[in-house]
Amino acid sequence: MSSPSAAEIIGNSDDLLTEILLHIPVKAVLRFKSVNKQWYSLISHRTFSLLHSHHHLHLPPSGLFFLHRHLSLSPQYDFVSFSSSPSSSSSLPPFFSLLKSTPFDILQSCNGLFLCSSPSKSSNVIVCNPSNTHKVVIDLPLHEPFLGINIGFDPSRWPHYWLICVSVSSVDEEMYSIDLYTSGTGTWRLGVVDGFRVPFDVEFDHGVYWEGRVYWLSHTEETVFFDFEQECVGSLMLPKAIQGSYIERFRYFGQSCGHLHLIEIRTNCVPEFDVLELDSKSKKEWFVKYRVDLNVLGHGFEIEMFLDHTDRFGRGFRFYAFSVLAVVCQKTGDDEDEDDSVLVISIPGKVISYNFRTRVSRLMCNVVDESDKLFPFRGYNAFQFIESLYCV
Amino acid sequence: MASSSTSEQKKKIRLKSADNELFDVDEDAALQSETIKNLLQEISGDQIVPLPNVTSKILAKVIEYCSNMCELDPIISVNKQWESFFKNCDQDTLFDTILAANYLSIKSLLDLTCKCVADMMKGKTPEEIREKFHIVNDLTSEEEAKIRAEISWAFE
Repeated sequence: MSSPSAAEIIGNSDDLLTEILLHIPVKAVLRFKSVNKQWYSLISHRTFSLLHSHHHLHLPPSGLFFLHRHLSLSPQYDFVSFSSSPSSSSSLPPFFSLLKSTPFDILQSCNGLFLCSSPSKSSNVIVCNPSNTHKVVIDLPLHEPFLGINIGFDPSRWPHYWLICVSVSSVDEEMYSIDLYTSGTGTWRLGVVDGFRVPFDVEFDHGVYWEGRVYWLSHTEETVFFDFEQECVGSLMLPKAIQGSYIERFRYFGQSCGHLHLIEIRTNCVPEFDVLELDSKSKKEWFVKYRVDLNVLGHGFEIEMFLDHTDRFGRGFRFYAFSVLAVVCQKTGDDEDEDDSVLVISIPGKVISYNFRTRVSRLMCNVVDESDKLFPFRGYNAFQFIESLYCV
Repeated sequence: MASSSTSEQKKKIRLKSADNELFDVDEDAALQSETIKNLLQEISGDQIVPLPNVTSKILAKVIEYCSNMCELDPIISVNKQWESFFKNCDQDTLFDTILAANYLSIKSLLDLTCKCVADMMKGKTPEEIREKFHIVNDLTSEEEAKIRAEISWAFE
């Protein structure tokens, strides 16, 4: 009988198992770590994890970590899952309990890796993969203070990840300098770009990785990015609609599955807003990807979201209590019309997701929320959890 | 016009399976296998290529696959047909084909069959996997408990 032997040969061959396991999603592969010693060491191995990461690019997130107590001194995060309906604590990665027990700040998440810092210790940062609980502590360059620390991780381009630190240039106080770290060598190179100018209000503490670059927002007509391969700083024009105003209350800037999105909402009584996307070919043009009507989005959540108000002249206003957590690209099939991308928003007491195509919102989870219905907009505070086997 | 009617003039390669069955195969189909390509360089043109690791049952399937891949039909639709064949065939055939594709070094067939096995494995528990691959669990109960704790979130 050939069958047992064929199965046995395959089950014992690292090469063939690698070929097979590469096609299996992260969670299922992790479960197979407990098959036996050989499978455990194969799946834990750096080479396999790198191959697997390379094989599973642009994955949608399986959940979001978001800050839910903004006003307290130590950050407190909640987790909402895209897979199971109400998040049960058993399906949370152990990273979550780590977050609860240690006062970490999440600085950025990027293709599966989280960049964290400890409020009590500013001389280092932690790079962590919540899926396999790998983490490393990386000392920052000695000179401080930093305006921002960012991570660039993209297995479609590099087997390693990058960190960059932005600080004020020692040459000129009005200019900036960038230090670059790569996990390939484990070393920092100081001042790879030194003495560049940017608009005065660039938000270096909130960088978004996209297509080989980290982008930061500004409120002026142009903003800046750092390109990891060219090791240079460049500028990006912001869409006209968004330029030149300080009155806006909220912005969302983030990427999902290879798409860079920007949302600006100027007040909480405007019923519509656009989700803009940067054209991935030119990397210059912004276009309207989705238009959101809040009266449609809020259907089923009227009590939480809408606050109707009549002023003393009898004019009616509707205020919308919500905050954008993320734009998440999801595809159910290969075709363009099977786009099931969602907008994840928090409303008082709940997190809901709104499907752009079906225009239907659904409850993702209930949260303990202290936010004020009249002042709901909050900053950048959600971090996508993308499953990955990558060993940091 | 060069059409399928010229196939009779195509050069044939003679392969011999593990159970000594002979197969005459079009050269371009046979050359999809890196192993056969290398063997042909070692032996002189008209000799039989021995493939002692592949049974006639599996070799027939592999040859059918390679011939399909040389046809003019869009590769995607051919691939879809083969994918559905491997998803519905018995496990022995699938596993034997993986070993054959690996031995014969036919990358596209190896990818396809491995993907089919992967699909079959996705929802399985570690216990079911052990059974499927006839694997003895050599982890101590402490080790297994430790690993389970590490990955508990992956068990929904």
